[in-house]
Amino acid sequence: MLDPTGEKVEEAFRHIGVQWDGARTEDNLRVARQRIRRRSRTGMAASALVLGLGIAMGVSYRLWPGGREVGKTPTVVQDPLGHGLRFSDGSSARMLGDHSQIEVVAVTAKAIDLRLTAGRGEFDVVPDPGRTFAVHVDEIAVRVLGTRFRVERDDRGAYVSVYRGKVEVRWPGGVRVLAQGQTGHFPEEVTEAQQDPKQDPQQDSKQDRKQDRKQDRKQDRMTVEPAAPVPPSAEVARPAAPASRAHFRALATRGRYAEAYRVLAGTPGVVENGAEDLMLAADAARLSGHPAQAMPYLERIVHKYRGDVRAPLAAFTLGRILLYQLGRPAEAADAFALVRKLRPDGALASDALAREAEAADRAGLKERARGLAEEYGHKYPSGRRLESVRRYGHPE
Amino acid sequence: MRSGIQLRLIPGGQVPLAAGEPLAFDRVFREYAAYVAAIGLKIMGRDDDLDDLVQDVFIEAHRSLRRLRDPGAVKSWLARITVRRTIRRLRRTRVLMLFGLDAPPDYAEIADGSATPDERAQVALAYRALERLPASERVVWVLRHVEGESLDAIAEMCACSKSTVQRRLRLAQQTLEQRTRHA
Repeated sequence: MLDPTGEKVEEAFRHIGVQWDGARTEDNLRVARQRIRRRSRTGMAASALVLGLGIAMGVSYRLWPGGREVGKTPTVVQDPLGHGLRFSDGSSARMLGDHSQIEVVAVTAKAIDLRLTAGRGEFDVVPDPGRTFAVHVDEIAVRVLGTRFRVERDDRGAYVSVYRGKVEVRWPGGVRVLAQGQTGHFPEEVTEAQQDPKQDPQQDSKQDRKQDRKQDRKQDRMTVEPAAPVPPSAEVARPAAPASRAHFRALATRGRYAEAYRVLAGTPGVVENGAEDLMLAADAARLSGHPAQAMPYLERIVHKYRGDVRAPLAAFTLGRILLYQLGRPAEAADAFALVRKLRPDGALASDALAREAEAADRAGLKERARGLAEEYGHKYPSGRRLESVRRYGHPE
Repeated sequence: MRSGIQLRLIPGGQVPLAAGEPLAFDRVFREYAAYVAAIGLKIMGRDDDLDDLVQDVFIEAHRSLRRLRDPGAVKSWLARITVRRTIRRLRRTRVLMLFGLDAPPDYAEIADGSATPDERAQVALAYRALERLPASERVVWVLRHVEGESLDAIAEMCACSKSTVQRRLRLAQQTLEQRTRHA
């Protein structure tokens, strides 16, 4: 019988000894080193794979921001300052002014519907192919798929400005698409031309639309037509017949800028002395490929209608034309400075500051550019143009 | 000889690890491989898995070796890793044996050449009895009765309290006595 703790067993245990010599040590050391190297390579490969997957996921997340919420009903919360709403898909709605009010009508997997019941609101929408985003002002619906825009409620209806992307505005009896940089007052007035298309000498035709698209593409390439007819200033224009004015407005608000500009060039008096008409004229000119001819209208808005909500956008557009299309950066810098002066906390303020820095840099005003770049970094430490702005004001 | 560092010579002429020196893997391996192998052999009772065990222990140690600055702590630290790794191997072997994927070794082979046939038989009998014990109890019993470690040292090697070591020893002893009575 075995007594595991007995003396005999203890004596036997003294003979347990490992046959371990230097050669066996070296053999094992060599194998252990190999295994460590193999393990390290495997670890690095695994890390690289994980990193690669992470980057791929991150990139796809950035490229398709709506994907993170596809098929899910987004959640909505009030922002911490109580000035707006934030949606879990990244979209947001901001009330501008103390008396503004936004109501949530519906938030579902397929649609976000808000109602602007008072004042002004600014909306930043993350694109999601499976979900619509709409802002309602009474019977007017501003429907978007990925954009940034502003809606202002007034006695007549709604004033819509688009900063990025496109919106479709629908109202009983009409629909219009507004692109980046465009504005519009809705519902649009029903003009004679709209009531009776037969009276429109340049009514819708495939040929005309093709021409419009050509002109718009030309504008996209930022080409300038120096020989274009110069419309006279609105101040000296002779009053035009109401029919011509209505015709011009109908064309411009429908986005048929080439035709609108032809009417404008032929009958400068179609533009009345109002910020909205001037903006339409400026849009017709610049979006039909005549940026220089858009300037008198924009200048008139910023000087005569400084208090109008369109004034900062007009100054901003002026700056862009001067900087990118006419190559006059010093004047462009002043135009962008005016944007901030008109509306220091406006939606265009950060972009205007960045572009002012860029314009000053291009004009050789290095010190001014450097100061503006510093101001941008201070005011907008996480601004999307921070990286490019930092370069301005420094030698090449 | 560098000033401020106490060195001593060990048999074989190798200079022992000095305090504060970064510990080189190869040196640690050469100095402690035999020690790790001795503990492993006594706990497992077989030599065929020993090379793998020693390599596993030092590969695990390799990850943290750079952070260890006290050469005096290396031995007990390696012993802890060895015990942990051996317990894992014992449990795996038990499962493999259960499914007939591994056979019990000839425990008599671990006795050295100077052992008598009777002593070899005693060793084999003892290890066959130890097969029945849970791995954690087997380890403390072997460290106590075969390796001759103190309770405190076993507690440190097994990363448990001294009372846990005592309880495991007691349970192991009871099981072994019951088995030998039945036998």
